[in-house]
Amino acid sequence: MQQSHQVQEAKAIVFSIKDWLTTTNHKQVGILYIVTAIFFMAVAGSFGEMMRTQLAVPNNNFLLPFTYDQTVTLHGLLMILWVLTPLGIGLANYIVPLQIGAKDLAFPRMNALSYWTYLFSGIMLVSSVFMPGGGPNTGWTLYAPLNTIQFTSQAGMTLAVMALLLFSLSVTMGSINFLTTIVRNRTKGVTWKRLPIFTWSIVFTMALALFAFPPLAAGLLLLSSDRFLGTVFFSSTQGGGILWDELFWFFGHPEVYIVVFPALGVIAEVFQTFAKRPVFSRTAFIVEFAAVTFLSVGVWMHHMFTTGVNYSVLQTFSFTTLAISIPFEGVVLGLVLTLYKANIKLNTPMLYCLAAIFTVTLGGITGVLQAFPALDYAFNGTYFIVGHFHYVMAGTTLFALLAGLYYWWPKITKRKPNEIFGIIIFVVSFVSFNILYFPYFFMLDMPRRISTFSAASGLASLNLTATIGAYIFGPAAALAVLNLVLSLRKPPSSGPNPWEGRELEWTGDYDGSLGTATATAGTAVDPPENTRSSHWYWCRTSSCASVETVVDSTGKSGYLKKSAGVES
Amino acid sequence: MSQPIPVSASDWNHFFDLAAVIALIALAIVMGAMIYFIVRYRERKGQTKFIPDVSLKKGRARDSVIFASISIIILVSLVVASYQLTPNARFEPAVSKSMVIDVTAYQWAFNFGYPNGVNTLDNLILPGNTTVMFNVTSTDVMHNFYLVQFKVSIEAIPGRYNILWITTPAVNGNDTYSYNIYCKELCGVGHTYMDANMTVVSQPAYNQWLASQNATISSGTGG
Repeated sequence: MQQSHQVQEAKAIVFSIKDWLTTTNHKQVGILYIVTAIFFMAVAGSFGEMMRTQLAVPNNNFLLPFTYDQTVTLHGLLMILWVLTPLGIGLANYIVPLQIGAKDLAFPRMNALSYWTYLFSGIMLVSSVFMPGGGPNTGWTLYAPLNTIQFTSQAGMTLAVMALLLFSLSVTMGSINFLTTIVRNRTKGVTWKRLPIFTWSIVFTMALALFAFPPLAAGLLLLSSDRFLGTVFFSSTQGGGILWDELFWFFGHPEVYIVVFPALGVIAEVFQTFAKRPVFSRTAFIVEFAAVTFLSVGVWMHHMFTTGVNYSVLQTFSFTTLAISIPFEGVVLGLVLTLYKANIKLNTPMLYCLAAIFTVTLGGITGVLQAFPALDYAFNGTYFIVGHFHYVMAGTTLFALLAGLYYWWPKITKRKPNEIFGIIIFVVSFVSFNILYFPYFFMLDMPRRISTFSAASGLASLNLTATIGAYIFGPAAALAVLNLVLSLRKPPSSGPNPWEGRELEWTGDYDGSLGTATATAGTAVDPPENTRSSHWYWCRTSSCASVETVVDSTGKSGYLKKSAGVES
Repeated sequence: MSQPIPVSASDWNHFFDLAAVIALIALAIVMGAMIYFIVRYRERKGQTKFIPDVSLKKGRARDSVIFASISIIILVSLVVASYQLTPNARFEPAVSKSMVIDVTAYQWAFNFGYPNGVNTLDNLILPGNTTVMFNVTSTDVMHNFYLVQFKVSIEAIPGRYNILWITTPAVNGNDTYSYNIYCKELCGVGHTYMDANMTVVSQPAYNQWLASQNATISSGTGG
């Protein structure tokens, strides 16, 4: 019975294309999101490799300036909006309903609509480069008035604007869906106090998305009006350029956190499971998380320090930027201190998360340096900035979301990826990542988005180093994904809870696709009144029944954890 | 050839060094703690370890407050230091501005307008030991006027006049110092090649050059 069900499920997954096209199931939509995001990652990563190839040597002619500008634009737009954001949403789609014991998202059909809007907007964006006259060549920031029809008349630019509008629609629908689900559809016993950290991170992500994407959509609608109807919102010399800056960065800065929050949530989950400790000072951790969310809508002007805003604005936004770094530092320290007195198992997801802590710390402190307007007058628009945000985006977010994929892979596919191969790829990707991006911190003399540089500039060796790093990092990232895919060739092997995870997605088995709860331990048990730390305690007293409570000499209760290797 | 470091750049360097040292110490502490925890508390083969239950009632909020306080102290002291240093980095309008240059950026060049009506393209000649105010604007898209070795920049925005000021280093005799000016804002296909040269010469040499430019202009208009 069990077997035949699994076989049926496997058949359903592999063969039913119609099923995949019409699905509203959160697990399937989650998988679609993840697969699509990885596809766009391959596209955007190829653009990145093309850029590094062009910049490998001085005065290179591999890409002409116009081609290079399009490559820059597509790489940025795709990586931030069509890769990292949806990768987090994809994991959330699969995991959040399981973590809160919900049957599905609150609006399953809207969830499917979010996905398909996302997919088509991405196809629109990528196809824009094949339009006559080329694609967008303004950089991902689409600064005005370069984005108006007077300066970028090509249809590809208009198509990119439409793609962005469609994408903001997708994210806005998704954010409403997730917030409603988490507020309304939690199962009995999943109180706010016990809400798993990853789900908390999605609450903050989606709240921020709901706040940040409408200003972008407003800006894009005004821009469409400029491009289609001949209005002059952004081509006006009376503040058109600044208006776009304001609207864009009012979205753009929170977007950074929209990308990073799910990553931080994954790190917390992975640390809790493989360090066998709850996250350090859970309440403070969540409060600090909330503080970052709240403050992140008040820092956007630090992207505009050099636009000639007045002195008091400079100081105000310098202050808010430093203020946000305090709770953010609290979140990172909370993650590090989770390892204190822990029992750390160093496997692939754990290693990626530790690397993500390193990159978020380095990316964070280089960000704090830019919070000082005096310093930013030089940093702004140079490769120092490029280094900073790649440490946060390509480092923290990508590493942590990869860790999330490795961590939840047994949940999604009932298979474990090859551990040794995984660790080797991790080491290669981490080292090459630093070879690629660390030199950027020394390239203050190199403006962003230039398609080539002269031999006399003294930037040749740094650029060559970065390119070598890129040639290793790209394939390593691809191999990390390949390792996951290769595990699918093996028959299902891992049990329902191979990592001894303690959140509900591991301990309960609420299969949304079947529409019924298989009442294993966890969902059925009411947790003790004083349980605050999610299901941490819950699991140990129910589904992990083989674990026996012991009391140590100081009177603390706990259990004995035997590590692997005793029998072998 | 060693050129003098402009005062705005040396201010910048001092503040950067201070902030970077503090940042690196912070990085070292966080990473040191993390690596220590990994080594100290890693799972060892064949070991049986007592894992205490999570403190169900008592959080560790107090510890978090302590850590937050430490970082607040560090950041506040940095803010104070930065407020002291920012006027030196030319944020306040210079009290005595002895010279104003109109900078007009367009796709893809910088036009420099001198007080007496002389204009130059992508070539800025300035007298030494002078406080210069740049009045920066653009006639088409956004550009960025970046004085690389001076470590200051400002956006050139159509319809808007942004101000940036520097003090040029003192120059003796026939010495000339040359500096780079780049555009830092993607402004179209010519962005890569949008740059200019700044040459700082002595006051007499500057006067002589300006006079020769004036002569060119008068003879041009006269003819």
